[in-house]
Formats: sequence, C-alpha cells, structure tokens
Amino acid sequence: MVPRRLAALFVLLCAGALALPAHAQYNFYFGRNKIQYENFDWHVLKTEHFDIYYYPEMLELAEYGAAFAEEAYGELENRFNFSLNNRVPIIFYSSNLHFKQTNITSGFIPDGVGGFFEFLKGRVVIPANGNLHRFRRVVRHEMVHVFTYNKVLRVMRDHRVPPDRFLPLWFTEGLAEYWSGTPDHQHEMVIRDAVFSNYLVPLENIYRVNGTFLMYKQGEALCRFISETYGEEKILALIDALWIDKDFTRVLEWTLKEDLHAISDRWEAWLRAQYYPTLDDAQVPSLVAGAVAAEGFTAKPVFYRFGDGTRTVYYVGNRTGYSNVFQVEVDSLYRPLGDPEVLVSGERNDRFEHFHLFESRLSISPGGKLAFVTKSGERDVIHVYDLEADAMGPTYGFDDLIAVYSPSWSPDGRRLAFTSIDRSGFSDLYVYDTERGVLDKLTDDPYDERDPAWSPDGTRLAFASDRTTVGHRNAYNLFTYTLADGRIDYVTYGEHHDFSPRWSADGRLLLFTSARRDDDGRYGGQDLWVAEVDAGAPAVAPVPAGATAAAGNLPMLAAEARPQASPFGQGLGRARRLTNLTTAAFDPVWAEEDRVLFTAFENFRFTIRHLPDVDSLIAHPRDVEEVDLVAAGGEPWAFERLGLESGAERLPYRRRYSLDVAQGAVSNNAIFGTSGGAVLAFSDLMGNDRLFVQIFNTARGQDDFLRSLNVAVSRIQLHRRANIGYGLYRFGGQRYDITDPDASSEFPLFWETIWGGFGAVSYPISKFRRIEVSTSLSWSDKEIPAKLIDREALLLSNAASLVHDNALYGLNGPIDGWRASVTAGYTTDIRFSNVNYYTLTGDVRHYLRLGRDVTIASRAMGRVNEGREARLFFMGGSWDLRGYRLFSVRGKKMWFTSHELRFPILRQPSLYVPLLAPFGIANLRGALFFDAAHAWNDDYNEVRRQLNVGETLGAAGLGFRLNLFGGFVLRYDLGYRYRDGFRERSDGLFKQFFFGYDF
Amino acid sequence: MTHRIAFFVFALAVLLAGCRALQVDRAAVVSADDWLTEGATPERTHAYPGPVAPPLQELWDYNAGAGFGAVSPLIVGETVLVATRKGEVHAIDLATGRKAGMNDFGEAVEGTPVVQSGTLYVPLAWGRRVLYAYDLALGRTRWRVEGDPIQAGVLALPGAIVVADAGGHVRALAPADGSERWAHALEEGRGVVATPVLAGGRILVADDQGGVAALDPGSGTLGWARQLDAPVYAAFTAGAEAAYLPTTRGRFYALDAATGAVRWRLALPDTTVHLGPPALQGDLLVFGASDGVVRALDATTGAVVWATRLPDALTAPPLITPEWVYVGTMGRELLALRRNDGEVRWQYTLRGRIKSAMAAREGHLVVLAEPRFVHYFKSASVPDDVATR
Repeated sequence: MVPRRLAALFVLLCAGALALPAHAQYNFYFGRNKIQYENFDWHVLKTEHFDIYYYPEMLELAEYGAAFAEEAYGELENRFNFSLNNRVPIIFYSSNLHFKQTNITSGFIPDGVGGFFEFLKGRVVIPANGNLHRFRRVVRHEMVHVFTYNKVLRVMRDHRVPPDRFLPLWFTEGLAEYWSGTPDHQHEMVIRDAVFSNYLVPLENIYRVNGTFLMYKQGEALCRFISETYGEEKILALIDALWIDKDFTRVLEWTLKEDLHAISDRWEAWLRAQYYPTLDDAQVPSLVAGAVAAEGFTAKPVFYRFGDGTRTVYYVGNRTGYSNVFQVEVDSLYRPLGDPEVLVSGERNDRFEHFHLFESRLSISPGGKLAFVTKSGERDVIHVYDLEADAMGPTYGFDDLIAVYSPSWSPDGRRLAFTSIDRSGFSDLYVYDTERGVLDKLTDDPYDERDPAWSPDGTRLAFASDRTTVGHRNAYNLFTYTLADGRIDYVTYGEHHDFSPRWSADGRLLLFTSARRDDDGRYGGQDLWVAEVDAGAPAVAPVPAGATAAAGNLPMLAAEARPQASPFGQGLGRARRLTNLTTAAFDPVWAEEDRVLFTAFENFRFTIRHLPDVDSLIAHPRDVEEVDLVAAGGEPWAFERLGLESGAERLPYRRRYSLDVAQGAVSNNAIFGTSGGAVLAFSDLMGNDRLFVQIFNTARGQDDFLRSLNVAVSRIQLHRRANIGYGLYRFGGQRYDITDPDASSEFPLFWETIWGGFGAVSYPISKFRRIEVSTSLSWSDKEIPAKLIDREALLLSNAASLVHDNALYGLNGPIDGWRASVTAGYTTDIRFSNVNYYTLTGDVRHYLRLGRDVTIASRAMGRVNEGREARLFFMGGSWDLRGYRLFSVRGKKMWFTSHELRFPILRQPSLYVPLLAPFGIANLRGALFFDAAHAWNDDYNEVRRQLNVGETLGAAGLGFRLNLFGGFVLRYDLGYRYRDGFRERSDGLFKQFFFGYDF
Repeated sequence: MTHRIAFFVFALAVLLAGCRALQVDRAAVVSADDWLTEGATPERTHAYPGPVAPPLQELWDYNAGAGFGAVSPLIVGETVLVATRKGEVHAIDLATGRKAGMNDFGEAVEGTPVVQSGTLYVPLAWGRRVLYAYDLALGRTRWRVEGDPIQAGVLALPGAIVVADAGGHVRALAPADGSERWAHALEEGRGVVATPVLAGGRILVADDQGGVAALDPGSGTLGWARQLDAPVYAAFTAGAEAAYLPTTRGRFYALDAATGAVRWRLALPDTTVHLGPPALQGDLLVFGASDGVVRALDATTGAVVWATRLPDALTAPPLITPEWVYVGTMGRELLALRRNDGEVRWQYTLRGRIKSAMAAREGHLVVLAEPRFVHYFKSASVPDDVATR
C-alpha cells in the first residue's frame, strides 16, 4: 500500500539523467497513485504558539482548531511542566478526503487516521470529520506528541545521550490518548472486550500489537493505570529518566520501583477489578444474537425481502483485503443459506475506489434499490444498485460535497437523505431528489449531523446530532427534522451517545444504539434501544414505492440551529433498552419476523447478527428511560474560535524551502578507487515542492577531479494532479554500465561525460492508472580505449508509459489484483546520428487468489531495444530469473515469464516460538516457482553464454520468504536451473539468498 | 625519530592543555559572598542581600558541553562551579568566563553539589557510586560512597554531609571519610527528588509521594512526619519557623518547622499546575509555576501579595534581592520583576530555557540555560571595572 508514484518519479529523474528509457526495466514503475485533486490555496493563521495552515473555505474551522490548539497548549504546558521554544506548524484539512491528498507524508492515509505529527519539520497534520469534539481531541492528541517529542529531545540532549532511543509506541500513543481527554466509549468498548474475551496483551509483550488500534487503547489504559496507581508525576518521571537506559523496561522498573511482571500483573488486576463487576447480568452478543455474517470485518447491514419471499441481508465487509458489498440469503430464522457472495467488488477500480467500511450505512428503497457510498476520485459518491434487476444503477456525485455518509431512501424511492461534509469541514443534512436532480441542504451549522433515516410517511427525518444542549459535553441525541417547516425536535435527551436511528414500519418507534456512562463515570456497553416517537398519535402507513411525495414535504433549511424541546406537543421522551451487551452494537435495522439486524463487536471482530423476539424485548425492556424533553431547551452551545478579533494574524502562505535530508558518503573500491558525494533534499512546508541536489566525485587522482565531477539538481512539484519534475545534470568519469552495447561484456567499464537536462510528467488517470512521459536532451562524449571508440552525440530521448496497478499487498508482496506497464521510447543523436534506437517494454503481473492465504502469481514481460547503439537489458537473480547470477543475462531483446504458487507455512511464528518475536519475524511463506526467459540481440538463436543470450533459460524450485519487522523480506530459493530450452538441467540444486518483495 | 617524539610530546601537551583538572585556589577560604550551596544557605532561600539592579549586561557565556538539571551554580572565590547532566563539573574563571578546570564524574548530576571546607560533594543520579567528595585544592577524589542514585541536592551541615536518594534513604556521612553517621529510611516505594532543607534546626526531607519528615541532624531521629496531599518534586525553602513546600498538583504548603503543623495552604483550582521552587526573603515568598504565573505570598499568612503572568512555564527558583526578583522562564527569558509589585521591568532573551537555579555575587548574576550555557551578568549599577571582587 505504499504509494510508489513519488518514488517512481524520483527514480525516473535520477535514472532519466542518463537520458535513456532503459530505466523502465527497474522494478519501481508500479504502484498506486496518490492524487492531488485540489490545488489548495493555503493561508496561515498565526496565533501565540502556532502557525495554522488552512484554505479559505475552511476558515471558520481553522479558527476553531486554532482555539483548540492554544487551549491544549495551556493545559499541556502544565502537565509537561515544559514550554515549547518554537512555533508549531499545524496543517488542517476540512475532510479526510482532502487529508488523503497531503504531500507531507508520501504514504496512503487510511480512513481511521485522525491526524499525525511528523518529526522532520515538526508538522502536525489534522483533518476534520464534521465532529468538532473529535477534532478537538485529535488536536490535543497531536499536541501531546509535540510536547513529548520536544521533551524527550531535550532530555537526551541535556544528557548528551545519542538519539538511539525513544519512548515505545504504546507509551507515546497511550499518553497522547490519556492526556487528550477522558476515556471515550470506543476506549471502553475495546478494553472491556479485551478483558472479557481475554486477549489483553501483557505489558511484557505489548510490542506484539505495536501500531494497532488495540495498542492505542491498551497504552491509554496503561498510562491511566500508572497515573492512578503510582501518581501522575510518574508519567513525566518516565520521560525524564529515558536517558538512563536504551531499554524502556528498565526505565519503567526504575521509575515505578517495581519489577516489570509485577507492574503488568497489577495493571491486569486493576482492569479486571473495574470490569468484572459489570459482567453481572451482561449479555455476550454471540450468545444472544445469531450470526448472519461472522467472517472478516462486516458492518452496516440492511435487509430486503424479494417478491418471491427470499430474505437477503446486504452489508459491507472485508474478508480478503478488499472491501465489498456482500449479500447473503437467510431463512426465516435468519440463518445464512450459504456463504456470503460479493454483490459489488470494491477497491479494484475507479468507480468503487474505496469503501468507508465503518462510517457509511446502506439503505434499500421499498422498490429494491440499494444505495451505498464509495470514494470515487476526489469525492464520495452515492451508487444505486437495483436488486430486483440485479444491475448497477446510476451514481450520484455532487461538486461541492466532499465526503458523503449514510444515504437513506425516502419511502417513495425518489429521494435520498444523507449527511455530507463540504469544503467548510462541517457535517450537514442534505436531500437529493433523484428524479429532479435537485440537491437541498437542510442544516447549515457547525453541529455534527449523522445517520439520517426517513420516516415511513415521508414527512420527517430522524437523525443523530451533537446539537443537543448537552452537546458541549460530547453528547449525541436523536432528533427529527420536519420537512414541511424545517422544525427540529428532540427524540432523546441526555449525556449519551445516541446513534443510528431507524424507524419502525408503523413510524412509532426509532431503533438506535446508545452508549451511556455507568455509575463510576465510565461508558458501559453500547446497547440497542428503541425510542417512542409520536406516542398517542395515529399510526402512519408507509408510503408505497412509486407513490408521489406527501404534500408539503419539500425540504427547506432548518428554521434555526436550536432544536425544539417538546416534540409534537409531548413533554416526555421515552426510550427502552433492549440489551445489556458486554461490548457494543452498531447500525441496527428492522428486519422481519420480529427481529433486528445489527453489527456486533466482540473478540475484536465486527460481525452481523440478528436479535430475535424484539417485540417481547420492547414489551419487557431491560430499562425504561423517561426524560422531560422540556428540560432539553436551552441556549445552543458553541466552542470558542480564535480569529483576527482574538489577536490572531492571517497571512497568505509563502513557499519556503528547508532542509529535509543531508547525507554524505565516501566509498573505496578496488576498481574506482575512493569516491565520495552527498545528497541534499529540500522541501516546502506542504511537501509540494521538493529540491534534490546530488554531488559526487569518482576521481582516482587530482587530474581526474573535474572530469569525474557529477552534479545533478532536480525539482519535483507535487501540488497539482500532474506531478512535474525537471532538472539539470552533469555526469562524468569512469562508468561501469552493463547496459552499454559497446562496452566489454566481461567488464563494461568506460569513460563518459554527459551534460544535459530532463523533464518528466506523471499524470494519474485514477488511483490505479497513470501516464508517465519523460524527455531529456544531453551531450554525451564516450570513450572506450580498448575498442578505440570515441563517440560524441547530442542525445534526445523521449519515453511514455501507461501503468495500471490495483494489486493488494500482503506482508511479502502482492496477493490479489493485477498490474501492468507498457513503455515506448525513442532515443536519437540529433547531431551526428551516432545513436538511434527505440524501446518497447511491457510487463503484466496477475495475482489469482485461490484462498485467503494462497495465491497464484503470474508474470509476463517483454523488452525490445532496437537500433544503433541500443542499450542492453539485463535480468537474472532472485527478483526475476532465479538460479542465475544477478544481472547476468543481458540482451537488447528479451522475454520473461514467471509463475508462483504462494502459500503460508507459518503465519505468526512468534506465537509458537516467542523467542522469535523480538527479531520481528512476522510470517513465513513458501513459493513453488517456475521461470523461463530468453534474451537475444540480432539473432534469436545466436548463443553467447557470456551474456546468457540466444537460448531459453529457466528455473524451477521452491522458495521461502520471511518477513522481518513487517517490512523487510528475506528470500531463499532452491531449485534446478535449466538451459537450452529446458533440455539441459544443472547438475545440482542452486541455492539463492537475497531480499525483497515478491513480484 | 626525534621529530616523532617531539610531535608526540607536543600532541600530548595540547591534549592535556584541554583537560585541566578541576582545581580551585584557596577553596577552603570561604567568603561571605561565596555561593556554596543550592539557594545560598541550607535553608535554600535563594535570597541575595545585596543590590542587583537591572538592566543587566551579559559579560560572558560559557559552553559547559551538556545541559543542566535543576542544579544551582556555585561560586567559590573567583570560580564558578557548574555540574552538568553529562556528569561533568566545570570550573569557570569568574573574571574571564574561561574554563579553569573540569572533572568528569561519569554519571549525570541532577542535584546541586555543595562545597564545604574546600571539598566539593557531588551527587550522581545514576550508577553504583553516587556521592563523591572531591578535594578542590588538590584536584582529586577524597572518597566516594555507594548507594541508590541521588537526584536531590546535598545538604552540608557542620560535621555531616546529608543526602537523600531515589530509594528513599536519608544518610548523614562524615565529611572526613564518608562513613555513615546515621541513616533513616522513608516508607517503601518512596524516593526523594527535592533537596533536603535545614529548618528550625531540623533536616526536612520531602518525598515523591508527598511525605515530609523532620530529622534530628545529630542522630537522624524522626522529629515529626506529615503527609501532604500531593508529591513534592521541586526544591523547597525554610524560614526561621516554617518550611514552604511547593507540590506538583497546584498545592503549596507552609509547615511549622517545629511541629509539622500546616500553617497555611494555597490551593490553585487547576491541580495539573506544577509549582516551582520558592525564594524567601523577609516575609516575601516568591515562586513560579507551570502556568506561567509568578506568585508572591506573605510568608506568614499565605496571602497573595502580587501575581504576574508570564508567557511561559517557570520551573526554576527565582532569585530574590531587596529590590528585585529575578526569574528565568522555559521561554528563554530572564526577567527582573519589581519586588514590591511584581511588575516586569527588564527582560533578556537567552538561547534556551532556564530551568536551573541562579547564583549572585556583588551585583552579578550567574544563570544556567539550555542548551548548555553558563551566562554571567553584571548589574548596571556595578561600575564597569568591577567585574568581580
């Protein structure tokens, strides 16, 4: 999942300096694209301690963020007993989709990332997601990182200890969570589940869950435990004592004055003491609700009954790495009648680029139209799938709306209600009329609206929102929005997290989830509830599909941000709790046969389950809560903003470069003698503009110094959709070039001086495809004394490539999808005609998944260089033709094919042999392989064994792949080597050890 | 060959010239102006009776090679002694700011050493050997003792060197040979970070769990003990009858030195505020805090006399004079506040945070600041030709 486009461009630029399209034979030309759809107009808001970067559309949000940052600074200055001596740059994005475009990190950013702090320039990068409370919490979280980093740096520098250590990730992330606010309901959900399901990772082994969501939550629980057991001061003392030992375990033991195992045992006992008492009368989801889909991560169920009586459950799930919409037929007891099938394949093409697995609900109209959301290009869109016709329907996208969540059909199947975040970064309610093509915005304020659901009579929308008067304490309640007059009414009220309402068919009840604090102040399980709406009013018949809209239901902007306290003349809100779950329920929907479907979290998995006997549960609930909704009235809440009137200063963003990396190297080689050089990399604050300066010298003596001076300066601009690179270079000196056709085949060493400039453009068509174009013009002077060659040329070289990549990566390489690249190039000497050749290359790789962990990988590749002084391609080694020495096969033309059966041997060796864990051994896999290749120059069958050309070569055998630390793959292959069209087999097994991902 | 030997000798001479041993002339001769212990006296008052009027002029700075903890510089005769977190003690010539000597004690120094009778007692915050007695005149270690690491400063009493360590042991050692005169163990799991103080004829030790113990200097017998509701990490001070203890949770205590009774208590609404070490002169008690506020209290009643808000946290003890209060901030600022109303009248920006105590002498101020510099300031009221005594 690492974006390769930037890496590819950089390699292209460096290699492009040689003005030859032969670079395309390196393996850097695949990878998905991180696309800059927006050319943000950055501005800076300067506050007392921060430079806040924002774009004008999100000024209001930036002012909230500025206030949150300054508020966090004041608090953390006390907690850390420390002040920052430098201004902190904070870059805000108004949505996660904009955030995904950032160039501050080159990696792809998944949905769940709330922000990050990077060490290089000390930048904090945070997107909003429509929820100001979460935005505030993330700002605090990242500010804890800023303080921690600066404090640690100071401690190490004070003690003159080399920066060879840092706090472990569980501590830094746990502390950031702990000091950014009280434990939220997600924290409680995960820790309760870990305690109840017994997968809590002991402190001694916490590195096993490094980087996972569980690590964040356990880290938070550990920091809280340290604070409550040993004193809050020990948190700072741990940071202050980091200098004493590289091993944080010793620091921990010394500071807390206890053995690590004793600390760990105390922590687990501390947790159990808190959570075990709550088990009394609690329900385990898997024991009270049957499984509909229990494999992989599954969420957002919806139910549809076809005309023939078939019951089908649809949901979004991820079983194999790609997210899809699944369908599973169930019987009258809601038992699945087979394996779930993929209805819509996601994340392999431009249309369904990415599912927001846990964020956006599905909806089915009475007529059988399934609405769901995916990212498609720069924004989210709503797709419609006609279940009755079993065909994809239209897709709806809106220019001004960036993120779209949880569409809900109107009863007449004509309109879609949903929530969306526009460029301002706030989440509001919208209604789209699919027949008229009209979009209406129903709310327009900083409150966070979620999960709209259309009432059966089509007159109202139920939704969850933090607009409640207790919303300033991060509470969400349920509301209804009356389309006729824009009136908003309370349905529930209190300091809860009430989410995901769904109307009963008679319009009297709203099914929803709610998380509430227990008596000890901690959140309990997230349960299923029903709230009564319109008690005493006549039942409303559902509007049949195809019927015209109810009179007076044209949507209009909400009358005012403040909701009405008394819904429909009632003063009482009544809600009934149907469950008392140990963990959490999400996204409930009414099914038939007296059941509801919901997503259950248990044993760190999300599964789709059905709860039976709902009528009985409603009649005999676990709790009945009655709230005086009149008391809900009050002034709307608002966070403080920090704008010009508060002393902040606004300025346009000015691009300034600062040094990112400076690296020097000196090497000594028996052939080239001593050579040395340096690389400097600069970039601007947004990471959009990057400068690279390379300088090195390979002179063997004073006389050669100028002749052997190599300098290259290049610039890459990434802020537009098309990435552009250009530069100038001068390369000179002795070169060892196995691609040069004139050089000696045994020892291709010669003198060459090249002056020139180059340009390259990489244009992403989509996340999965791009076009690359490069050109260069250079003066080349080549001398090969042994062959009496002294050749001058003014070389013009052009190349164009088309690249596709939707491959899904496992730990050792791709496991699903396919990728391909075709390149055409032409290089000519426009002055002397000494060089004149064209290049064509093609490379296709396909990964067929036979099971969850077994893949057949196939690769076919062809390369042609034809013309005067055409370069040689090369091959051989562990990365392509196995059994042959690295790059030992060289020819102007070649084909190659490789096939592998990749299978698991040991998924997590450290579980079986814990001693392996500290060595980072992540998994062990095997590969049965078959390779075949043929390289040639002018005559396909002219054999030159020195270059391994003119005969078909091959290899077959077995390989082992071992992943270390999740990112470094060791390869060991053994097998037989073949020559002469597989007629000649090597005597013994070859053995080859190398590193690198599978193709 | 001769050339090689000459070169070797020259190189050795150059090398040795850069490694002058830590020696101080007439170190045993003590002047009233010397600053021989943290806070100037065993009561840690951080008070200087002479005038140090702003503006100050920086005369020199010195690169000590590493950062400083909460230590105080010491002034012995014409030499400033500074201990670093790298474990070195530097002697700096007061007149020129040049290195006069250095000794590497091997482990970080977090607590302030003390000078008594020409011997420097250096506490080490890590390792097995945790206290060194170093003869400043001879430039050699006289004795060293083993024990738990010492993060707090050393208290020198007539006939005893008192240390309190991270393991919760309080020990009185004979200055002559380091032999243990008496020892007192705090409750299990407690450690000491704050420097012990002499108050009302007793040694007060405050620990990292909020416990305060008053010990008899001669025998180590417990006089009284009190448990505060917050830990004590910062150094504290004492007057004639009371001790003044800042805590890490926004609470400040005045305890009766004779009985340990709480005379008054200041409680800030925000319990995350770390209160800094106080300075005391007369009835005025001044201290900074992590909330950036310098507070001046009436030492008798605890009433707030004035409070001045500064932009950054304060962790270093102020230095108080009859007219002025000097404070150093975590925002790199050295400020002079008028003693009677707290108004900021002068400020000077240094290269890094000031988190260590200051020392004063004859209208001059020694300030330690990040990243690793010792700064020497002269008051404008001091004639130019009187840089030092």
